[in-house]
Amino acid sequence: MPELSRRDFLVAAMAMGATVAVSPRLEAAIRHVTGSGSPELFYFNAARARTCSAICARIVPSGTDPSKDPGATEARAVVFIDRFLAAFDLPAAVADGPAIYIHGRFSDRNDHRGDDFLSGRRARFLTLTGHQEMSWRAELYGASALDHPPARTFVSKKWRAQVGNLLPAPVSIRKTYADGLDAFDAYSKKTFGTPFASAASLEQDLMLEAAGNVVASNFPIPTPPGAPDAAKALFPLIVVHTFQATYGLPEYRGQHTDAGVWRSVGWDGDTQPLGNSIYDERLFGPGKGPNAGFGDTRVYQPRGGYRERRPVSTLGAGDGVALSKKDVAPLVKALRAQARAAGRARQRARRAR
Amino acid sequence: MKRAIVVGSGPAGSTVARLLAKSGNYHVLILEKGRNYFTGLGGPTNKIGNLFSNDEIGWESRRSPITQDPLLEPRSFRTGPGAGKRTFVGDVNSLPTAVGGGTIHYDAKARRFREVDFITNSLMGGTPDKPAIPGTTYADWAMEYRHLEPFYAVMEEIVGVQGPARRVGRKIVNPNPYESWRSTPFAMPPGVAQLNSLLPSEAASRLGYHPAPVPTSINSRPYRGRPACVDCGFCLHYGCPNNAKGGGIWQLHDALRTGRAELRSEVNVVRVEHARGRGGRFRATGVTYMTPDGRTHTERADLVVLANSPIEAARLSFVSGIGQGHPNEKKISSAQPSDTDPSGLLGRNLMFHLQTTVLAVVNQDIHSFRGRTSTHTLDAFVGAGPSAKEFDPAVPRGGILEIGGNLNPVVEASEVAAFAYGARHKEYMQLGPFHKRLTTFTMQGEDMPQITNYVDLDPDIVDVYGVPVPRVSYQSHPYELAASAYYTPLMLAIMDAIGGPGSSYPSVRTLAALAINTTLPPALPGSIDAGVQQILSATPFNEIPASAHIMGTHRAALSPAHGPCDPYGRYWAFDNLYHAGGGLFATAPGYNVTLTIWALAYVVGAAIVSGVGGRRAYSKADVDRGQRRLLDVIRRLDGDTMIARALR
Repeated sequence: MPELSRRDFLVAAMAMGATVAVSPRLEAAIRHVTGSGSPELFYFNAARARTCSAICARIVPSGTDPSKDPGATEARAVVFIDRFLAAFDLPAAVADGPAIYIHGRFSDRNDHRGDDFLSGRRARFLTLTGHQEMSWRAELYGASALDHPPARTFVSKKWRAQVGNLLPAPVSIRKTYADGLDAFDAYSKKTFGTPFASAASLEQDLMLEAAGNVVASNFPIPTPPGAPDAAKALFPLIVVHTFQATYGLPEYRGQHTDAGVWRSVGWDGDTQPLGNSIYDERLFGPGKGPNAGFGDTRVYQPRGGYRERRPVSTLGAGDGVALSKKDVAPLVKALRAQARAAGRARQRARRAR
Repeated sequence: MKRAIVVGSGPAGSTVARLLAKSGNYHVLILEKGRNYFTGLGGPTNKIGNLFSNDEIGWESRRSPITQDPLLEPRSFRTGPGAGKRTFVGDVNSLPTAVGGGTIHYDAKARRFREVDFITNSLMGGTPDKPAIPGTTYADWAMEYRHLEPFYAVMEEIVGVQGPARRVGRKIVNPNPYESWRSTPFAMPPGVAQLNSLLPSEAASRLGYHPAPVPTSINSRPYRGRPACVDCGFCLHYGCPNNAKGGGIWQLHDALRTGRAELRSEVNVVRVEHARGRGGRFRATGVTYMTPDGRTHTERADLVVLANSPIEAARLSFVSGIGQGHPNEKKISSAQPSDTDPSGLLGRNLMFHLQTTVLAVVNQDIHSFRGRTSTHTLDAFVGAGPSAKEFDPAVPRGGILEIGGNLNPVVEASEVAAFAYGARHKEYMQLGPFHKRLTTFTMQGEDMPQITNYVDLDPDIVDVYGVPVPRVSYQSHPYELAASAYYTPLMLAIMDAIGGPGSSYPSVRTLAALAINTTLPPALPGSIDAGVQQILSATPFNEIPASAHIMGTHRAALSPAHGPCDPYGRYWAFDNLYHAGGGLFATAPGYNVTLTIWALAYVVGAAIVSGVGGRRAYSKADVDRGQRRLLDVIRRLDGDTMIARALR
C-alpha cells in the first residue's frame, strides 16, 4: 500500500466534505491541562500529555457546546490516566495512598454529611496489602517489581521463576503509555508532517484506525500504513481508560463534579447512601432507625414503607423519548457477529478435541 | 472446651462457626486468606462499617479489591487429559478472597431447590450405580427436601431473606407455583420492584408463565437491627456500602459476639495436619497457615472444617496428602481410592451452572441501572416439578431465569465500542442501550455431574506462597447444551412480547432481543481490563465456564462408594474433618446456590454439635433418625425463629 501523503489525505477529506481544522477550543483545553509547569501531572511530560489528551478527545469527543455536550477533555481524561500511572508516586496533598481503589463509603453528592472520597484536592484511597501492592506495581512497572516486594511480603522463589515462563509476565502499563504516545507522535510526524496533537481530527482518526480501531472505518480511503507496534499496543488500553475517566467516579481525576457527562448520558452516578428508594425512618423516630444518619430526613415520606426517590418501578416523566429499531441496528449487527464468531470458535475447539 | 478451626469465612464457614461458638462446647478459630474490609465485627452493636463504595472503576473496571489475584494465585484449566497439561493459566472461576467470601459481591438470590431436585435420578429411573443420564454420575442426594426444609427456613431467618410467600391465617400463601411447600413465610416482604424485571415478567404472565419476586438475602426493611436496602443499583460485583446485603458477616458477627470465636484474616492455610489413629482411621490434628511475610504457624485443633470453596477445599486436601492430588489420567473415568479417601472421588464431579443470557433493548428509558440487580425470577424452565407427582422426565432441566440486569456506563462504553466510535459512540451512550433500556434473562442451567470433570493439582505451577495451584479439567455435557438450546427460543419469545397494546406498559416495546455468548474470557494477568477484549472485538470463545456457582468435588453420599463425604460433610476416613459448602452438592439444580450452601452448612454444624453421624455407611433410615437430633439444634440455638416455634 503506498504511503498516504498529507496532501493526498486532505484532498480525499475535502472530497468527503469534512472539516479538518482542529477546534480552537480543544487546543485551549489541551493547553489548560498540559501547560508547562502544571501541577496536575505526575507521570506525563508535556508532549506526551498533549498526545494523550488528543487521543482521548477523539475517543469521547466534545460537542460544539461542551457545557451541554462534554467529552473526555472536560472530564480531564489525561489527569485520570496520569494519576493511575503515577498511583504510587502521588504527593500527599493529592492522594493519601496508592490511587487504585477509592476509599469507602460515600461521596457528598447524595446528601451524605461530608465526603469520604475526597477532601479538597486530596483523595482517599484504600490501603493495599503487601501482595496487592506488589501486584499493582507489577502492572504499572512490569515484572521487575516482583523482585522488590514490599517489606514483610513473602514471594516464593519457585513462583517468581515461573513468571515469564509458565505464567505470563506483566507488561508495564507505564511503558506501554510512554512508548505508545511517542510512537503516535512519530507516526504523525512521518505520515502527516505534524505532531499528533496538532494533526487534523480526521488525520488523528485515521491513525487510530491504523493502530487498531476496528470500528472507525468511515473513510472510503485506505488507512495510512505502518502504524508502529507500540501504538497498536496502547490503543485498547487508552480507549478503556478514556471511558473510565469520562464515565466513572470523578474523584479518580481529582474532581467532585462530573463535568456534565453523567447528566448528558442520563446517569445518576454513585447513589449511596440515599439510593433510589428509601425506607421510612420516621417509623423509628428521627435519627433512631437502623438507617439513621444515612440521609436527610426531609426526603422521607410520613406514611411508612418505601418511597421511590427516582423511578425504579414506574416509568418517569421524560421517559417517552422512544427509539426505533433503526437506532439499534448497528448494535444488533455487532452482537450477532460476536455470537457467530463465538459459535465458530466453539466448533473449532470441538473439532480440535 | 474443644478447639475447632474453620477455614474460610464465606457463607458456609461463618454458619458453621456461628453454631459451634453458640453451642458453648467449642472455641472456634476462623482462618481467612483474604482481607477484612469490615469494621466493628464482633463489637457490642450492629453498627458494622465497611470500606465499600459505589465505585464502578475499582469494583468493575479494575481487578476489584476482593478478587483473587490471577498472577499471584493463578489456576490452570484444560478440557481434559487429552488436551495436555493445561490450555490456560490465570483466573479460573476463583471466588472473592475476603472476609465474607462470595457473599460480598453476590446479588444475594436466596433460592431453595425443590422436592424433585433431590431425587431426580431415581424419578428418571436411575439407580446409585446406574445413572439415568448416560455419561454422567447423576445421583439422588443423601438428604431430601423434607430433611433440608427446616434448615432452609432457619437460614432464611438468620440471614434475612425477603420474598413473596406470606402467612394468611394458618396457611402459607406462595405466589410462586413452581416452588415446593414451606413451613414458614419469608422474614421480610419483597422490596421495590425494578422496571426492567417487571416488563419481561408482565410479558411472561401474558404468555401463561408465572414469574414472581425473587427470594433475596437483602433487607427490604430494617431487620434484626440491620439497615434496609436503598436500591442504589450497585449490587452484583460490589460490596454493599450500607450492609443491607445479608451475608456471611452477620453470622461471623454472631459467632464473635459469643466470646468463643476468633477471626484471623490474611492467613493462608497451607496444610491440614493429620495422623492415623485407632482402627486405621485418621484424625485431623490442626492446620498450618502462612502469614503474608512467609512465616508458618501450626494451630492444634480437635475439629477442622474446610469451608474455603469446592475447588480450594479439594486443593488443600490434596496438598495435605488427602485424596489423589495427581490421579492416574489413564484411569480418570474410574474412582481412585486411597487410605485417606476411600471413595477415590475427592475433587471429582465438579459442576458449574451453564448460564444462557438473552438480552432485550426496549424503546424507552426504563432506568435499568436503578435497583437491585434483578427483582424477579421465572422458574418455568427448571424442569418439571415441584413434587414427584408433577415430575416428567421428558421436560428438559434448564434453570431459573433471573430477570433484570444492568450495566454501568463504563462497561457499556466498552460494549458500544465494538460497533461505534467517536461522536457516534457518544450518541449511543446518550441513548443508553445498556444502562437505560436493557433487560436480560440469565438462565442458571443445570450442569450434569461427570467423573471426568475434576480438580487436581497442577503438576508444575505454584502460587506466590509456593503451594501447588488447583487445575480444573472440565467440559460441558451434551445434556446441558441441549437444554440451553431448547429454552433459548422460549426466552426470546417472552422478550419479544414485552409491552405494546393490551399490556400494562403500552408505550414500551422491544427493539431487539438476542441470545448472547456469555462465556467471556477471564482477565489475563498483565491485562487488567476485561473491557479491552471488547475494544479489540476479540472476544475469543473459550470453554472455561463463566459462572461463579461452583459445586461438587465433595459429594455427600450414603456410602463411600458414591462420594468423598458422608451426609453431614465428614470425610469418610476421618473422625473430625469436614467440608461445608457447595462441594457437598450431588447435582447442580438450576437455582442460585447460596441458600442451599447455607442450609447444608447448618446441617454440618448441627451434626457436629449434636454428635450425629460418624458411621461407615448410612441407610435412608439412618438419615431419618439423625434428623430429630439435628432439629433439636434449631430449637436450642435459634429458638427465637419462626421455624423453631413451628417445630415445637
